[in-house]
Amino acid sequence: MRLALLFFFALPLFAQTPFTIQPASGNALGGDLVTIKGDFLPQTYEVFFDANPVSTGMLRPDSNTIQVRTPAHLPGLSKVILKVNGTTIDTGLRYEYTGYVGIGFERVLLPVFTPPIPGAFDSEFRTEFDVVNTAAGAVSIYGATPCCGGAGDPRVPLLLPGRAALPVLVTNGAPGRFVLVPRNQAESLTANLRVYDTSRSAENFGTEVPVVRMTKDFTTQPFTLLGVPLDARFRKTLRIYAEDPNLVTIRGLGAPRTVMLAGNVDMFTPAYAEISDFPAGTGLTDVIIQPTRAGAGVWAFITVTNNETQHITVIAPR
Amino acid sequence: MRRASLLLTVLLSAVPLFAEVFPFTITPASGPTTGGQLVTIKGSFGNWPYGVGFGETAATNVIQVDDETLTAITPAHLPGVVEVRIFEYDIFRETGGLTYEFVGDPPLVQLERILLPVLTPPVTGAFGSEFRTALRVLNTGEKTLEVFGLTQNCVVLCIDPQGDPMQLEPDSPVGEHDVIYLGNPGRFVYISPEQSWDFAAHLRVYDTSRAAENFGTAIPVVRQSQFRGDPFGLLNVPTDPRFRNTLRLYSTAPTTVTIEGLDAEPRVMALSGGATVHDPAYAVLSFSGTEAGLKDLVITPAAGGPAVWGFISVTNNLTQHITTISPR
Repeated sequence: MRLALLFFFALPLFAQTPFTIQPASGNALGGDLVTIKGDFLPQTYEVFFDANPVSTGMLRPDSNTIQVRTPAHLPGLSKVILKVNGTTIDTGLRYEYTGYVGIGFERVLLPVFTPPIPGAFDSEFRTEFDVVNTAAGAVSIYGATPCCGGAGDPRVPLLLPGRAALPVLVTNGAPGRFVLVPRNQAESLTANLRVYDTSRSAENFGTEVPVVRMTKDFTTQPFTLLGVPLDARFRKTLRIYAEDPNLVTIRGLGAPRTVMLAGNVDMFTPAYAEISDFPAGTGLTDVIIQPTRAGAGVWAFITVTNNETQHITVIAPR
Repeated sequence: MRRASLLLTVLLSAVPLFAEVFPFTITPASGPTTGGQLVTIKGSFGNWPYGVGFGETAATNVIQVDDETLTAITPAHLPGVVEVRIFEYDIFRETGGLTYEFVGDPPLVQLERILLPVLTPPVTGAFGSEFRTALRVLNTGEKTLEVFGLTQNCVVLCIDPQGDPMQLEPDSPVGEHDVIYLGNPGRFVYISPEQSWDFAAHLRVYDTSRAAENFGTAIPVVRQSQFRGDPFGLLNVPTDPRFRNTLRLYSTAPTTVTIEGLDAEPRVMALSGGATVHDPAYAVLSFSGTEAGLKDLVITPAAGGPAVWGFISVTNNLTQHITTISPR
């Protein structure tokens, strides 16, 4: 009985008018004016769309209204979150971002981002990715999942504060992975990707693998991977990536062949093909990659691995 | 194929040596590196088609006005004095040392600057090691591509062994042994931006004494657009004493950078040199750690100064294996 009375008396103390947001959807590029209604304290609020902060231009036309310009966000639903007096309030509101991801976001390809792979002779190949934000402001990164306790939804951004390094990430590529960054923030990031054999870490520091930007490095034109050794002491793997399914023609490995890039199940997974059956011989060959469908850029690289030492050399397009 | 054509050209160009030599003049004798200047060449000309070259680069709009006059429009060219070459039907005329001087900075609208960070002759190391640079370039386009700053390694017979720019013919790769390694440590080369995607390059360093064990290490070939005016990071540098680290920084002109993450306090380094358009201003710093771990360096170019690019080579003291760390 007492418990029931306590419940009924307590209810008005915490009851609030439900929050509303108008409009409830807008462009993924951000910049749309939205109005949030609710019971607000007479303090300064911060507004977030998932982790993305509203940086400028908040208005308080009256005590029950906050108006903000939306920050950029990947297409899809985002949570609307308020912070006041150090307290985080999940408003329960959802704002839907619409539009094509390629317009406002830079896709950054991590060509190899796999969990550890055991190999012969106790070898274990690992991927290590590090990224630093050298700017003063925060950068939102999508598709990168923190290793420990982070959200599993890659559409929820990881906020990297200014002058900070990214925490350790889950290596979830298959084999590669796109991470996405608002285009106007991409220049603030510097990244390094390295593969190494844990059983040989005393002998070498591994091999740097290019971190590839869609707008700068993917191409619809033919490109060449130069000086690939045909020597049978080395095994070679050609890896080809695209944003969307595509056909490419490959020359320089015997008769020209056409391969299909496929498997891009979501915006974080590149369409992909892999070739390892290089002809054996002497000397060097040049491998020419010819995308066959206009408009869909392609990037590729070759790893040259010594059969005995497992040492990897990368051949990438300039 | 290139050598065969050069040999043919040598044989053909020998003909005028025995013919009457006329003095040639060019007016004006200097002009901007951006090209586009109308020049008048006086000499003796017959009823032949004519071409004009400034060094290895062809002029445009060559017109024979009369028997004593050609006019032409200069091409874009790197600064410096070049030989003016007159091509008559199928021979080069002997011009008696006619030259033209291109004045100004490298014309970066007409020529894209590309850094080859390491382009040194073989370097002998400990335990019989010999580090070599291997550059391989290919023109994947359909017309000749000029590379300013690359010099052909003339093995048999070349009309112009020091020819610059190197003329890359389509689908004729130039391999490791076809190039003279002039960069110490790096070298800027220049190509037409219109042919940027036609220029494929791969740069690799390797130890000849370990060629059976590994294929070496790829070194980035760096476009001008990859140089940074804002801070950039070089990440995951090992502090394990089993590795020695070398930081190399490049710019187009002397400048300074501030390095954070190396010492307790930021360190300022000066990049010097850059005497020619092919020589980068440069700084090098070698360092090792005392215990296992990783550190991130942040390089901040001087405000308002030229853009900078840099990388770190991580070399295992025992195996001499090199890993690069570059900004991406």
